[in-house]
Amino acid sequence: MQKTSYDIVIFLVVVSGLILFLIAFIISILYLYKKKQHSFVQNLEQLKSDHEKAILNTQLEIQEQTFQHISREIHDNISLSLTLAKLQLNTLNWEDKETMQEKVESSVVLLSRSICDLSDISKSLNANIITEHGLLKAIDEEVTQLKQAQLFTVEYTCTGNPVFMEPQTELIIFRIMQESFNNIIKHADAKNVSLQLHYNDVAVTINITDNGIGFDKDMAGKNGAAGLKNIESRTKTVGGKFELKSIPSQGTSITFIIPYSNI
Amino acid sequence: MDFENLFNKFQENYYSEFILLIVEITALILAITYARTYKTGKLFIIYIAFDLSIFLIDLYIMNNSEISIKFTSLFLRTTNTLIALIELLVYYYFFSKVIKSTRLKKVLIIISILYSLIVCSFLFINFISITARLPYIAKVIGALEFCLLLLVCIFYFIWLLQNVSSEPLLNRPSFWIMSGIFFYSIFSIPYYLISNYLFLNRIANQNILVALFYYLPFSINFIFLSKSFLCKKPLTI
Repeated sequence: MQKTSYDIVIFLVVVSGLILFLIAFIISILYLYKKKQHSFVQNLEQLKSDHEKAILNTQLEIQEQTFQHISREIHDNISLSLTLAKLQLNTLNWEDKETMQEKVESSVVLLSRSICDLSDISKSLNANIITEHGLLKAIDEEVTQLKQAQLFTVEYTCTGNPVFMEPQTELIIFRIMQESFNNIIKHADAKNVSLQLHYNDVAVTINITDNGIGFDKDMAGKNGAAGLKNIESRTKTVGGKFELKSIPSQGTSITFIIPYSNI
Repeated sequence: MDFENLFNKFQENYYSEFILLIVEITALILAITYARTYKTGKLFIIYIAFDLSIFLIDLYIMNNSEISIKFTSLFLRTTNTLIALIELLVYYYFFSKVIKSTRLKKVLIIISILYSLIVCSFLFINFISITARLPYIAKVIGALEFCLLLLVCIFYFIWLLQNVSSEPLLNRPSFWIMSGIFFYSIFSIPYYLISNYLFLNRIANQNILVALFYYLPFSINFIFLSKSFLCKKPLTI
């Protein structure tokens, strides 16, 4: 009988020991995990804050470039047209009706062009369209404007199920595209431009291809290529990837892959 | 089936079998309710259902006086070894889904194949020859399964501490599943290795040994599995 009780005590001691060991083990794991989780959350917050700072810097950079663009547009086009109109109106000769009518008509043309230029600048700068209607609507408007300008033909396709991203991210994507189109207008001398958007499960892929004069990527790198570096750094800001292919006298193709979640 | 005999059997084992039965049925219901939409959840449903049906058949056979002891021990050996194989495959599959590493997946596949070969060889020998060592070999195969599972559990806990997420640990189903099997393995390895010796030497209090070292950890494993289903999240998180 004593032996039986002794066996039971041994079993109970062993089982209790094992249970205590396992409880201690689980508590240790929980404690270590909690400790590591705390530093992980802090790192994550730091990353988020860095990312927000980067977005803010990019926005400021974009704003600065936009101001420069407005300044240039006003100086080169609108100011010139208005000065010319003012000059013509100042030098009106009331006695020479025929010349006066010509000058007034010319001034009206110059003023109309200035109004159009102002309207174009206003449309291209307005970011409300992104926040109110999203990236796709803004791209539609941009493509319509490019088609109206008749500098080149524009083919635009959008495939997959569109995903709405943060307005900040969509605005940066839109500005990247505008910068790319500006580069085509200024440097490419293209006849056809194609813009393709493809939404998949994790990212949106944007491809802009032109059949312009192209360029040597190495040479562009040596000369600074600030525009391209801007595009690249903005793409990185939104957690995306940027790929450029260009063959002299054959054209250029730029691809951006922007993930929906950028952290 | 003699229900009075069955009730006496439950009483002899301190109701540990009955507790296991209840816990296993609860785990199955919770798995069907909360985890059926996930691939690993479906696998656990199959595992629990298979285990539960074998357990019920075992209970029926053990409490049926018309069935010979020889057949009963052959059946128990076969089903226990089969359950060990299925358990290992299910947990290894689950583990490969938690830690997405191709190298680790290859190692797990190799171990699974080797263990399956050992089990198949044992089942073959089990049916064609009768030796006194068969029960002992069956227990060693069982212990080997738990050693292999224990290795995976230790690996999981190391991985867990290296891959911290913002998700609280107690809300992660994988933590409960791996803790359950860790608990079960720690108890089962010594039990499987010494139980045969203890039974052969007709040591006193065999029932309490079985209740404490087999049914209790097995029940705790199912309680932890139930908790993981109650997290209502994909089980591999």
